[in-house]
Amino acid sequence: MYRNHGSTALRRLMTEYRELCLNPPEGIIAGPVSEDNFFEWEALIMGPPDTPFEGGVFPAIIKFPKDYPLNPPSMRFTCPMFHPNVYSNGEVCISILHPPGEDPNQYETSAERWSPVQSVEKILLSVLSMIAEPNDESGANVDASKIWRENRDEYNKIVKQNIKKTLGFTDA
Amino acid sequence: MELNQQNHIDDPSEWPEEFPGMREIDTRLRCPICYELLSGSLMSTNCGHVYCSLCIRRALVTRKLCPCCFEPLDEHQLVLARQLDELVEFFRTSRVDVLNALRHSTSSSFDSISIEESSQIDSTPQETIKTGDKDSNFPANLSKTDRSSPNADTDIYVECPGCQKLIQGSKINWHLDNYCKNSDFADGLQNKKTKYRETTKNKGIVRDGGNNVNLVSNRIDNRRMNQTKPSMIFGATQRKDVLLAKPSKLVYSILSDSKLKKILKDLGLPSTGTRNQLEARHTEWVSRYFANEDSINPKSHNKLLKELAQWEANVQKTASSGFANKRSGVGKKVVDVIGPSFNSEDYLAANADVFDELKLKAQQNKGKRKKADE
Ligand SMILES: [Zn+2]
Ligand SMILES: [Zn+2]
Ligand SMILES: [Zn+2]
Repeated sequence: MYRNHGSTALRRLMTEYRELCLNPPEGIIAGPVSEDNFFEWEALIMGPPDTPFEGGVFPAIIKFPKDYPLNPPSMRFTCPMFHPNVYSNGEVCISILHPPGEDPNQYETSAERWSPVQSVEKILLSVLSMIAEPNDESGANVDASKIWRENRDEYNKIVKQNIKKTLGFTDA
Repeated sequence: MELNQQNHIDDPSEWPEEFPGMREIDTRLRCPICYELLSGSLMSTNCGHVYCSLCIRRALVTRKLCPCCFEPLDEHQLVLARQLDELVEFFRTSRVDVLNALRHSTSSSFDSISIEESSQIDSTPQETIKTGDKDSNFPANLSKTDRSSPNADTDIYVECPGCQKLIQGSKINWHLDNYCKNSDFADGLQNKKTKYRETTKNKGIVRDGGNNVNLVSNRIDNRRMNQTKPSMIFGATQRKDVLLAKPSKLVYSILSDSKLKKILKDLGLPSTGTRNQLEARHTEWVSRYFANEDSINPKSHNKLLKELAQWEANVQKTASSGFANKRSGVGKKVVDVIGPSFNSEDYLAANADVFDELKLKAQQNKGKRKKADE
Protein backbone atom coordinates (compact mmCIF):
# COMPACT_ATOMS: atom_id res chain seq x y z
CA MET A 1 0.00 0.00 0.00
CA TYR A 2 1.01 3.61 -0.05
CA ARG A 3 2.21 3.57 3.46
CA ASN A 4 4.93 2.37 5.67
CA HIS A 5 3.62 0.78 8.78
CA GLY A 6 6.80 1.73 10.59
CA SER A 7 5.41 5.21 11.05
CA THR A 8 1.88 4.41 12.18
CA ALA A 9 2.17 6.42 15.39
CA LEU A 10 3.61 9.47 13.75
CA ARG A 11 1.16 9.50 10.89
CA ARG A 12 -1.72 9.19 13.27
CA LEU A 13 -0.46 11.99 15.47
CA MET A 14 -0.09 14.23 12.43
CA THR A 15 -3.60 13.44 11.29
CA GLU A 16 -4.96 14.14 14.74
CA TYR A 17 -3.05 17.41 14.91
CA ARG A 18 -4.38 18.50 11.56
CA GLU A 19 -7.93 17.64 12.58
CA LEU A 20 -7.53 19.52 15.86
CA CYS A 21 -6.30 22.57 13.95
CA LEU A 22 -9.13 22.42 11.44
CA ASN A 23 -11.82 21.71 13.99
CA PRO A 24 -10.60 22.83 17.39
CA PRO A 25 -12.98 21.89 20.19
CA GLU A 26 -14.28 24.79 22.22
CA GLY A 27 -11.85 25.84 24.93
CA ILE A 28 -8.98 23.58 23.91
CA ILE A 29 -5.75 24.15 22.01
CA ALA A 30 -3.21 21.41 21.46
CA GLY A 31 -0.23 20.62 19.28
CA PRO A 32 3.37 19.39 19.27
CA VAL A 33 5.79 21.36 21.44
CA SER A 34 8.50 21.36 18.81
CA GLU A 35 9.02 20.37 15.23
CA ASP A 36 11.49 17.69 16.16
CA ASN A 37 9.24 15.70 18.37
CA PHE A 38 5.69 14.88 17.51
CA PHE A 39 5.48 12.65 20.57
CA GLU A 40 5.26 15.52 23.03
CA TRP A 41 2.38 17.94 22.85
CA GLU A 42 1.41 21.04 24.69
CA ALA A 43 -2.23 21.66 25.48
CA LEU A 44 -3.97 24.75 26.79
CA ILE A 45 -7.31 24.20 28.42
CA MET A 46 -9.63 27.08 29.23
CA GLY A 47 -11.44 26.74 32.52
CA PRO A 48 -15.05 25.75 31.82
CA PRO A 49 -17.64 28.47 32.48
CA ASP A 50 -19.73 28.27 35.64
CA THR A 51 -16.99 26.42 37.49
CA PRO A 52 -14.35 27.81 39.86
CA PHE A 53 -11.91 27.21 37.01
CA GLU A 54 -13.65 29.76 34.78
CA GLY A 55 -11.24 32.38 33.54
CA GLY A 56 -8.19 30.21 34.00
CA VAL A 57 -5.94 28.83 31.31
CA PHE A 58 -4.33 25.53 32.21
CA PRO A 59 -1.26 24.39 30.33
CA ALA A 60 -0.43 20.71 30.18
CA ILE A 61 2.08 18.40 28.53
CA ILE A 62 0.93 15.24 26.77
CA LYS A 63 3.50 12.53 26.13
CA PHE A 64 2.82 9.76 23.62
CA PRO A 65 4.36 6.30 23.67
CA LYS A 66 6.03 5.19 20.46
CA ASP A 67 3.41 2.52 20.01
CA TYR A 68 0.60 5.05 20.17
CA PRO A 69 -2.33 4.49 19.71
CA LEU A 70 -1.95 0.93 21.04
CA ASN A 71 -1.10 2.48 24.38
CA PRO A 72 -2.35 5.78 25.76
CA PRO A 73 -0.41 9.00 26.27
CA SER A 74 0.13 10.50 29.69
CA MET A 75 -0.95 14.00 30.56
CA ARG A 76 0.47 16.34 33.16
CA PHE A 77 -0.56 19.86 34.03
CA THR A 78 2.40 22.21 34.21
CA CYS A 79 0.57 24.70 36.39
CA PRO A 80 -0.69 24.39 39.97
CA MET A 81 -3.86 22.32 39.72
CA PHE A 82 -5.92 21.66 42.81
CA HIS A 83 -8.31 18.97 41.71
CA PRO A 84 -9.42 15.57 43.08
CA ASN A 85 -8.34 13.77 39.90
CA VAL A 86 -4.96 15.43 39.42
CA TYR A 87 -1.90 14.26 41.35
CA SER A 88 0.11 16.92 43.12
CA ASN A 89 2.78 16.59 40.41
CA GLY A 90 0.13 17.58 37.86
CA GLU A 91 -0.44 14.12 36.40
CA VAL A 92 -4.03 13.60 35.27
CA CYS A 93 -5.76 10.45 36.44
CA ILE A 94 -8.88 9.67 34.44
CA SER A 95 -10.22 6.47 33.05
CA ILE A 96 -9.64 7.28 29.37
CA LEU A 97 -5.90 7.44 30.05
CA HIS A 98 -5.94 3.85 31.28
CA PRO A 99 -6.51 0.77 29.15
CA PRO A 100 -8.99 -1.72 30.58
CA GLY A 101 -7.44 -3.58 33.47
CA GLU A 102 -4.57 -1.17 33.92
CA ASP A 103 -6.20 1.33 36.20
CA PRO A 104 -4.27 2.13 39.36
CA ASN A 105 -7.47 3.06 41.16
CA GLN A 106 -9.70 0.27 39.85
CA TYR A 107 -12.71 2.49 39.89
CA GLU A 108 -15.63 2.69 37.50
CA THR A 109 -14.84 -0.42 35.54
CA SER A 110 -17.48 0.41 32.98
CA ALA A 111 -16.17 3.91 32.34
CA GLU A 112 -14.58 5.00 29.10
CA ARG A 113 -11.16 3.40 28.81
CA TRP A 114 -8.22 3.80 26.55
CA SER A 115 -8.25 1.88 23.29
CA PRO A 116 -6.56 2.55 19.95
CA VAL A 117 -9.73 4.17 18.64
CA GLN A 118 -9.66 6.88 21.30
CA SER A 119 -7.92 10.12 20.41
CA VAL A 120 -6.23 13.22 21.76
CA GLU A 121 -9.42 15.13 21.21
CA LYS A 122 -11.44 12.65 23.23
CA ILE A 123 -8.88 12.80 26.03
CA LEU A 124 -8.96 16.57 26.12
CA LEU A 125 -12.74 16.63 26.15
CA SER A 126 -12.74 14.13 29.00
CA VAL A 127 -10.28 16.29 30.89
CA LEU A 128 -12.46 19.31 30.30
CA SER A 129 -15.46 17.55 31.76
CA MET A 130 -13.31 16.17 34.58
CA ILE A 131 -12.35 19.74 35.49
CA ALA A 132 -15.99 20.71 35.59
CA GLU A 133 -17.13 17.61 37.43
CA PRO A 134 -14.49 15.86 39.52
CA ASN A 135 -14.79 12.12 39.92
CA ASP A 136 -15.11 11.60 43.60
CA GLU A 137 -14.18 7.93 43.47
CA SER A 138 -10.67 8.45 42.27
CA GLY A 139 -8.45 9.95 44.88
CA ALA A 140 -5.46 11.22 42.93
CA ASN A 141 -5.25 14.19 45.27
CA VAL A 142 -6.69 13.18 48.63
CA ASP A 143 -6.61 16.71 50.08
CA ALA A 144 -8.44 18.13 47.09
CA SER A 145 -11.00 15.31 47.24
CA LYS A 146 -11.65 15.94 50.89
CA ILE A 147 -11.93 19.71 50.65
CA TRP A 148 -14.04 19.44 47.50
CA ARG A 149 -16.45 17.17 49.33
CA GLU A 150 -16.53 18.89 52.71
CA ASN A 151 -15.83 22.56 52.12
CA ARG A 152 -16.71 23.66 48.61
CA ASP A 153 -16.09 27.34 49.35
CA GLU A 154 -12.58 26.61 50.47
CA TYR A 155 -12.00 24.44 47.39
CA ASN A 156 -13.21 27.22 45.09
CA LYS A 157 -10.95 29.69 46.87
CA ILE A 158 -7.84 27.55 46.41
CA VAL A 159 -8.69 26.99 42.76
CA LYS A 160 -9.05 30.75 42.21
CA GLN A 161 -5.78 31.44 43.96
CA ASN A 162 -4.04 28.94 41.73
CA ILE A 163 -5.48 30.59 38.66
CA LYS A 164 -4.08 33.92 39.75
CA LYS A 165 -0.70 32.31 40.36
CA THR A 166 -0.72 30.79 36.89
CA LEU A 167 -1.68 34.08 35.32
CA GLY A 168 1.27 35.79 36.96
CA PHE A 169 -0.16 37.42 40.07
CA THR A 170 2.00 37.30 43.15
CA ASP A 171 -0.60 38.07 45.77
CA ALA A 172 -1.70 34.46 46.05
CA MET B 1 12.97 7.48 -0.92
CA GLU B 2 9.89 7.27 1.21
CA LEU B 3 10.12 10.79 2.45
CA ASN B 4 7.47 12.35 0.30
CA GLN B 5 5.30 9.37 0.65
CA GLN B 6 5.34 9.68 4.40
CA ASN B 7 4.85 13.39 4.34
CA HIS B 8 1.58 13.21 2.56
CA ILE B 9 -1.20 12.16 4.83
CA ASP B 10 -4.60 12.18 3.29
CA ASP B 11 -7.75 12.53 5.30
CA PRO B 12 -11.45 13.13 4.73
CA SER B 13 -11.09 16.87 5.33
CA GLU B 14 -9.50 17.13 1.89
CA TRP B 15 -12.94 16.89 0.35
CA PRO B 16 -14.50 20.30 -0.27
CA GLU B 17 -17.26 21.18 2.17
CA GLU B 18 -19.65 21.18 -0.76
CA PHE B 19 -19.36 17.38 -0.81
CA PRO B 20 -20.21 16.23 2.71
CA GLY B 21 -21.18 12.83 1.35
CA MET B 22 -17.66 12.27 0.04
CA ARG B 23 -16.24 13.13 3.46
CA GLU B 24 -18.54 10.58 5.03
CA ILE B 25 -17.60 7.88 2.53
CA ASP B 26 -13.92 8.70 2.99
CA THR B 27 -14.30 8.49 6.76
CA ARG B 28 -16.11 5.17 6.64
CA LEU B 29 -13.52 3.55 4.43
CA ARG B 30 -10.84 4.31 7.03
CA CYS B 31 -9.48 2.20 9.83
CA PRO B 32 -10.32 3.63 13.26
CA ILE B 33 -6.86 2.70 14.52
CA CYS B 34 -4.52 4.22 11.94
CA TYR B 35 -6.98 6.68 10.33
CA GLU B 36 -5.88 5.51 6.90
CA LEU B 37 -7.86 3.81 4.16
CA LEU B 38 -8.48 0.21 5.15
CA SER B 39 -5.88 -2.29 4.10
CA GLY B 40 -6.66 -5.99 4.27
CA SER B 41 -9.92 -5.32 6.08
CA LEU B 42 -10.77 -7.72 8.85
CA MET B 43 -14.18 -7.72 10.46
CA SER B 44 -15.00 -9.03 13.89
CA THR B 45 -17.70 -11.67 13.59
CA ASN B 46 -18.54 -10.86 17.16
CA CYS B 47 -19.47 -7.21 16.84
CA GLY B 48 -19.00 -6.27 13.17
CA HIS B 49 -16.23 -3.71 13.69
CA VAL B 50 -13.67 -3.46 10.89
CA TYR B 51 -9.94 -2.67 10.98
CA CYS B 52 -6.83 -3.06 8.84
CA SER B 53 -5.41 -6.52 9.24
CA LEU B 54 -2.07 -5.31 10.60
CA CYS B 55 -3.66 -2.74 12.91
CA ILE B 56 -6.04 -5.16 14.59
CA ARG B 57 -3.45 -7.94 14.77
CA ARG B 58 -1.05 -5.62 16.55
CA ALA B 59 -3.81 -4.31 18.81
CA LEU B 60 -4.77 -7.86 19.79
CA VAL B 61 -1.17 -8.57 20.76
CA THR B 62 -1.57 -5.78 23.31
CA ARG B 63 -5.11 -6.55 24.49
CA LYS B 64 -7.62 -9.13 23.35
CA LEU B 65 -10.54 -6.70 23.08
CA CYS B 66 -12.28 -5.05 20.19
CA PRO B 67 -10.87 -1.49 20.30
CA CYS B 68 -14.24 0.00 19.38
CA CYS B 69 -16.58 -1.78 21.76
CA PHE B 70 -14.29 -3.56 24.28
CA GLU B 71 -15.93 -6.90 23.51
CA PRO B 72 -13.52 -9.79 23.96
CA LEU B 73 -11.94 -10.51 20.60
CA ASP B 74 -9.56 -13.15 19.35
CA GLU B 75 -7.91 -13.42 15.97
CA HIS B 76 -9.92 -16.46 14.99
CA GLN B 77 -13.06 -14.32 15.23
CA LEU B 78 -11.84 -12.07 12.42
CA VAL B 79 -12.94 -12.59 8.84
CA LEU B 80 -11.75 -10.95 5.65
CA ALA B 81 -14.07 -8.27 4.31
CA ARG B 82 -12.85 -8.73 0.77
CA GLN B 83 -15.53 -6.73 -0.94
CA LEU B 84 -14.71 -3.80 1.26
CA ASP B 85 -11.06 -4.07 0.25
CA GLU B 86 -12.02 -3.94 -3.38
CA LEU B 87 -14.20 -0.95 -2.75
CA VAL B 88 -11.34 0.77 -0.93
CA GLU B 89 -8.96 0.06 -3.78
CA PHE B 90 -11.27 1.61 -6.34
CA PHE B 91 -11.90 4.53 -4.02
CA ARG B 92 -8.18 4.98 -3.42
CA THR B 93 -7.31 5.09 -7.07
CA SER B 94 -10.19 7.38 -7.95
CA ARG B 95 -9.65 9.63 -5.00
CA VAL B 96 -6.66 11.54 -6.37
CA ASP B 97 -8.31 12.01 -9.73
CA VAL B 98 -11.57 13.24 -8.32
CA LEU B 99 -9.92 15.55 -5.81
CA ASN B 100 -7.72 17.03 -8.51
CA ALA B 101 -10.72 17.53 -10.71
CA LEU B 102 -12.54 19.27 -7.88
CA ARG B 103 -9.57 21.43 -7.00
CA HIS B 104 -9.21 22.59 -10.55
CA SER B 105 -12.72 23.81 -10.75
CA THR B 106 -12.86 27.08 -8.87
CA SER B 107 -15.02 26.90 -5.79
CA SER B 108 -17.53 29.28 -7.31
CA SER B 109 -18.14 26.90 -10.17
CA PHE B 110 -18.86 23.85 -8.06
CA ASP B 111 -22.58 24.30 -8.58
CA SER B 112 -22.22 24.39 -12.31
CA ILE B 113 -20.42 21.07 -12.65
CA SER B 114 -22.70 18.75 -14.47
CA ILE B 115 -22.32 15.28 -15.79
CA GLU B 116 -22.42 16.57 -19.36
CA GLU B 117 -19.61 18.99 -18.75
CA SER B 118 -17.40 16.57 -16.98
CA SER B 119 -17.78 13.98 -19.68
CA GLN B 120 -16.34 16.34 -22.22
CA ILE B 121 -12.73 17.09 -22.81
CA ASP B 122 -11.54 20.08 -20.85
CA SER B 123 -11.23 23.42 -22.47
CA THR B 124 -8.54 24.69 -20.11
CA PRO B 125 -5.30 24.71 -22.08
CA GLN B 126 -3.08 22.93 -19.57
CA GLU B 127 -5.57 20.17 -19.18
CA THR B 128 -6.07 19.15 -22.76
CA ILE B 129 -4.67 15.88 -23.94
CA LYS B 130 -1.39 16.37 -25.68
CA THR B 131 -1.46 13.66 -28.26
CA GLY B 132 -4.63 14.73 -29.92
CA ASP B 133 -6.57 11.82 -28.59
CA LYS B 134 -10.09 12.64 -29.62
CA ASP B 135 -11.75 9.45 -28.58
CA SER B 136 -15.10 10.46 -27.21
CA ASN B 137 -15.07 7.44 -24.91
CA PHE B 138 -12.17 9.01 -23.11
CA PRO B 139 -13.50 10.74 -20.04
CA ALA B 140 -12.30 14.19 -19.15
CA ASN B 141 -11.53 13.40 -15.55
CA LEU B 142 -8.98 10.85 -16.67
CA SER B 143 -7.37 13.42 -18.90
CA LYS B 144 -6.81 15.64 -15.91
CA THR B 145 -4.26 13.29 -14.51
CA ASP B 146 -2.46 13.35 -17.81
CA ARG B 147 -1.12 16.83 -17.45
CA SER B 148 2.60 16.78 -18.01
CA SER B 149 3.21 19.59 -15.53
CA PRO B 150 1.49 18.49 -12.37
CA ASN B 151 0.51 21.02 -9.82
CA ALA B 152 3.34 21.34 -7.33
CA ASP B 153 1.27 21.54 -4.20
CA THR B 154 -1.02 18.64 -4.92
CA ASP B 155 1.52 16.33 -6.46
CA ILE B 156 3.33 14.03 -4.11
CA TYR B 157 5.42 10.97 -4.73
CA VAL B 158 4.07 7.66 -3.68
CA GLU B 159 5.66 4.29 -3.74
CA CYS B 160 3.98 2.06 -6.26
CA PRO B 161 2.51 -0.92 -4.43
CA GLY B 162 3.24 -3.04 -7.47
CA CYS B 163 6.81 -2.30 -8.46
CA GLN B 164 7.95 -0.16 -5.50
CA LYS B 165 9.12 2.58 -7.84
CA LEU B 166 8.53 6.13 -6.70
CA ILE B 167 5.83 7.65 -8.85
CA GLN B 168 4.21 11.06 -8.79
CA GLY B 169 0.85 10.86 -7.05
CA SER B 170 -1.00 12.31 -9.99
CA LYS B 171 0.45 9.61 -12.21
CA ILE B 172 0.21 6.61 -9.94
CA ASN B 173 -3.18 5.49 -11.14
CA TRP B 174 -2.12 5.76 -14.69
CA HIS B 175 1.03 3.84 -13.85
CA LEU B 176 -0.98 1.13 -12.14
CA ASP B 177 -3.50 1.05 -14.94
CA ASN B 178 -0.59 0.19 -17.16
CA TYR B 179 0.61 -2.62 -14.96
CA CYS B 180 3.79 -0.83 -13.98
CA LYS B 181 4.92 -0.96 -17.58
CA ASN B 182 5.48 2.73 -17.85
CA SER B 183 6.98 5.16 -15.44
CA ASP B 184 7.07 7.91 -17.98
CA PHE B 185 3.99 9.59 -19.22
CA ALA B 186 4.80 10.36 -22.80
CA ASP B 187 4.23 6.92 -24.25
CA GLY B 188 1.31 5.82 -22.18
CA LEU B 189 -1.82 7.26 -23.59
CA GLN B 190 -2.45 4.41 -25.93
CA ASN B 191 -2.27 1.94 -23.09
CA LYS B 192 -4.52 4.02 -20.97
CA LYS B 193 -7.13 4.09 -23.62
CA THR B 194 -6.90 0.35 -23.87
CA LYS B 195 -7.40 -0.04 -20.17
CA TYR B 196 -10.35 2.27 -20.21
CA ARG B 197 -12.12 0.32 -22.92
CA GLU B 198 -11.41 -2.84 -21.13
CA THR B 199 -12.90 -1.72 -17.86
CA THR B 200 -15.94 -0.10 -19.39
CA LYS B 201 -16.78 -3.32 -21.12
CA ASN B 202 -16.14 -5.12 -17.91
CA LYS B 203 -14.18 -7.87 -19.61
CA GLY B 204 -10.72 -9.18 -19.14
CA ILE B 205 -10.15 -9.25 -22.87
CA VAL B 206 -8.37 -6.40 -24.48
CA ARG B 207 -9.85 -5.42 -27.79
CA ASP B 208 -7.04 -3.24 -29.04
CA GLY B 209 -4.50 -5.39 -30.76
CA GLY B 210 -1.27 -4.03 -32.09
CA ASN B 211 1.75 -3.25 -30.05
CA ASN B 212 0.45 -4.32 -26.68
CA VAL B 213 0.97 -8.03 -26.99
CA ASN B 214 3.26 -8.41 -24.00
CA LEU B 215 1.08 -6.28 -21.85
CA VAL B 216 -1.94 -8.33 -22.73
CA SER B 217 -0.40 -11.67 -22.04
CA ASN B 218 0.88 -10.44 -18.69
CA ARG B 219 -2.58 -9.39 -17.80
CA ILE B 220 -4.13 -12.64 -18.74
CA ASP B 221 -1.50 -14.48 -16.74
CA ASN B 222 -2.26 -12.39 -13.74
CA ARG B 223 -5.93 -12.99 -14.04
CA ARG B 224 -5.49 -16.69 -14.28
CA MET B 225 -3.17 -16.85 -11.31
CA ASN B 226 -5.23 -14.65 -9.08
CA GLN B 227 -8.80 -15.50 -9.75
CA THR B 228 -9.86 -14.86 -6.21
CA LYS B 229 -8.20 -11.47 -6.18
CA PRO B 230 -9.75 -9.34 -8.87
CA SER B 231 -7.94 -6.27 -7.71
CA MET B 232 -4.58 -7.81 -8.40
CA ILE B 233 -4.71 -5.56 -11.40
CA PHE B 234 -3.37 -2.94 -9.03
CA GLY B 235 -0.21 -4.68 -8.17
CA ALA B 236 0.44 -7.13 -10.91
CA THR B 237 4.12 -7.47 -11.56
CA GLN B 238 6.26 -10.47 -12.11
CA ARG B 239 8.39 -11.05 -9.06
CA LYS B 240 11.10 -13.46 -8.14
CA ASP B 241 10.04 -14.21 -4.60
CA VAL B 242 11.49 -16.08 -1.76
CA LEU B 243 8.59 -17.92 -0.24
CA LEU B 244 8.83 -18.14 3.51
CA ALA B 245 7.00 -20.61 5.66
CA LYS B 246 3.89 -19.61 7.50
CA PRO B 247 4.78 -18.60 11.06
CA SER B 248 2.62 -19.51 13.99
CA LYS B 249 2.01 -17.83 17.30
CA LEU B 250 4.21 -18.97 20.13
CA VAL B 251 4.01 -19.11 23.86
CA TYR B 252 7.45 -17.64 24.43
CA SER B 253 7.66 -18.51 28.10
CA ILE B 254 7.95 -22.23 27.35
CA LEU B 255 10.66 -21.80 24.72
CA SER B 256 14.37 -21.88 25.38
CA ASP B 257 16.58 -19.32 23.67
CA SER B 258 18.04 -21.91 21.35
CA LYS B 259 14.62 -23.27 20.39
CA LEU B 260 13.36 -19.76 19.65
CA LYS B 261 16.45 -19.03 17.58
CA LYS B 262 15.92 -22.19 15.59
CA ILE B 263 12.31 -21.26 14.92
CA LEU B 264 13.36 -17.82 13.69
CA LYS B 265 16.04 -19.35 11.50
CA ASP B 266 13.56 -21.81 10.01
CA LEU B 267 11.20 -18.93 9.26
CA GLY B 268 13.99 -17.17 7.35
CA LEU B 269 14.44 -14.48 9.97
CA PRO B 270 17.62 -13.31 11.70
CA SER B 271 18.26 -15.19 14.92
CA THR B 272 20.58 -12.74 16.64
CA GLY B 273 19.84 -10.29 19.40
CA THR B 274 18.59 -10.27 22.96
CA ARG B 275 15.73 -12.43 24.10
CA ASN B 276 13.38 -9.43 23.97
CA GLN B 277 14.46 -8.63 20.45
CA LEU B 278 13.91 -12.20 19.33
CA GLU B 279 10.41 -12.29 20.77
CA ALA B 280 9.50 -8.85 19.44
CA ARG B 281 10.83 -9.80 16.01
CA HIS B 282 8.76 -12.95 15.96
CA THR B 283 5.59 -11.26 17.21
CA GLU B 284 5.86 -8.47 14.68
CA TRP B 285 6.64 -10.92 11.91
CA VAL B 286 3.55 -12.98 12.67
CA SER B 287 1.38 -9.84 12.50
CA ARG B 288 3.01 -8.63 9.30
CA TYR B 289 3.01 -12.03 7.63
CA PHE B 290 -0.70 -12.63 8.13
CA ALA B 291 -1.63 -9.02 7.42
CA ASN B 292 0.19 -9.44 4.12
CA GLU B 293 -1.81 -12.58 3.41
CA ASP B 294 -4.96 -10.57 4.04
CA SER B 295 -3.88 -7.80 1.71
CA ILE B 296 -5.49 -7.37 -1.65
CA ASN B 297 -2.00 -6.59 -2.97
CA PRO B 298 0.33 -8.90 -1.10
CA LYS B 299 3.96 -7.89 -1.08
CA SER B 300 6.81 -10.22 -1.85
CA HIS B 301 8.35 -11.88 1.16
CA ASN B 302 11.58 -10.13 0.26
CA LYS B 303 9.90 -6.80 0.63
CA LEU B 304 8.23 -7.94 3.81
CA LEU B 305 11.58 -8.94 5.28
CA LYS B 306 13.05 -5.58 4.36
CA GLU B 307 10.22 -3.81 6.11
CA LEU B 308 10.66 -5.93 9.20
CA ALA B 309 14.34 -5.04 9.26
CA GLN B 310 13.50 -1.38 8.90
CA TRP B 311 10.96 -1.61 11.69
CA GLU B 312 13.49 -3.27 13.93
CA ALA B 313 16.17 -0.70 13.19
CA ASN B 314 13.72 1.98 14.25
CA VAL B 315 12.80 0.14 17.41
CA GLN B 316 16.44 -0.16 18.39
CA LYS B 317 17.04 3.47 17.64
CA THR B 318 14.22 4.33 20.00
CA ALA B 319 15.40 2.02 22.71
CA SER B 320 18.90 3.46 22.64
CA SER B 321 17.61 7.01 22.79
CA GLY B 322 15.83 6.04 25.98
CA PHE B 323 12.42 7.03 24.73
CA ALA B 324 10.43 3.95 25.48
CA ASN B 325 6.99 3.54 26.83
CA LYS B 326 7.20 3.27 30.57
CA ARG B 327 3.64 2.19 31.08
CA SER B 328 3.31 -1.13 29.42
CA GLY B 329 5.49 -4.17 29.25
CA VAL B 330 4.07 -5.06 25.89
CA GLY B 331 4.51 -1.55 24.61
CA LYS B 332 8.21 -1.82 25.15
CA LYS B 333 8.42 -4.64 22.69
CA VAL B 334 5.99 -3.47 20.11
CA VAL B 335 7.35 0.03 19.83
CA ASP B 336 6.59 1.67 16.59
CA VAL B 337 8.68 4.57 15.57
CA ILE B 338 9.41 7.09 12.92
CA GLY B 339 11.61 6.10 10.05
CA PRO B 340 15.02 7.76 10.12
CA SER B 341 14.29 9.54 6.88
CA PHE B 342 11.18 11.17 8.17
CA ASN B 343 10.93 14.89 7.79
CA SER B 344 7.96 16.63 9.31
CA GLU B 345 8.95 20.12 8.27
CA ASP B 346 6.52 20.39 5.40
CA TYR B 347 3.68 19.37 7.55
CA LEU B 348 4.61 21.70 10.36
CA ALA B 349 5.27 24.59 8.05
CA ALA B 350 1.79 24.13 6.70
CA ASN B 351 0.28 24.14 10.17
CA ALA B 352 2.58 26.29 12.24
CA ASP B 353 0.50 29.39 11.66
CA VAL B 354 -2.60 27.73 12.96
CA PHE B 355 -0.99 26.73 16.18
CA ASP B 356 0.70 30.08 16.71
CA GLU B 357 -2.56 31.82 16.09
CA LEU B 358 -4.37 29.63 18.59
CA LYS B 359 -1.68 30.24 21.17
CA LEU B 360 -1.92 33.96 20.61
CA LYS B 361 -5.65 33.81 21.04
CA ALA B 362 -5.20 32.03 24.34
CA GLN B 363 -2.70 34.59 25.49
CA GLN B 364 -5.06 37.37 24.56
CA ASN B 365 -7.81 35.67 26.50
CA LYS B 366 -5.43 35.42 29.39
CA GLY B 367 -4.70 39.13 29.12
CA LYS B 368 -8.35 40.03 28.95
CA ARG B 369 -9.08 37.97 31.99
CA LYS B 370 -6.21 39.57 33.83
CA LYS B 371 -7.64 43.01 33.13
CA ALA B 372 -11.07 41.96 34.21
CA ASP B 373 -9.68 40.68 37.49
CA GLU B 374 -7.91 43.98 38.12
ZN1 LIG C 1 -5.38 0.58 10.13
ZN1 LIG D 1 -16.38 -4.27 18.32
ZN1 LIG E 1 4.55 0.08 -10.34
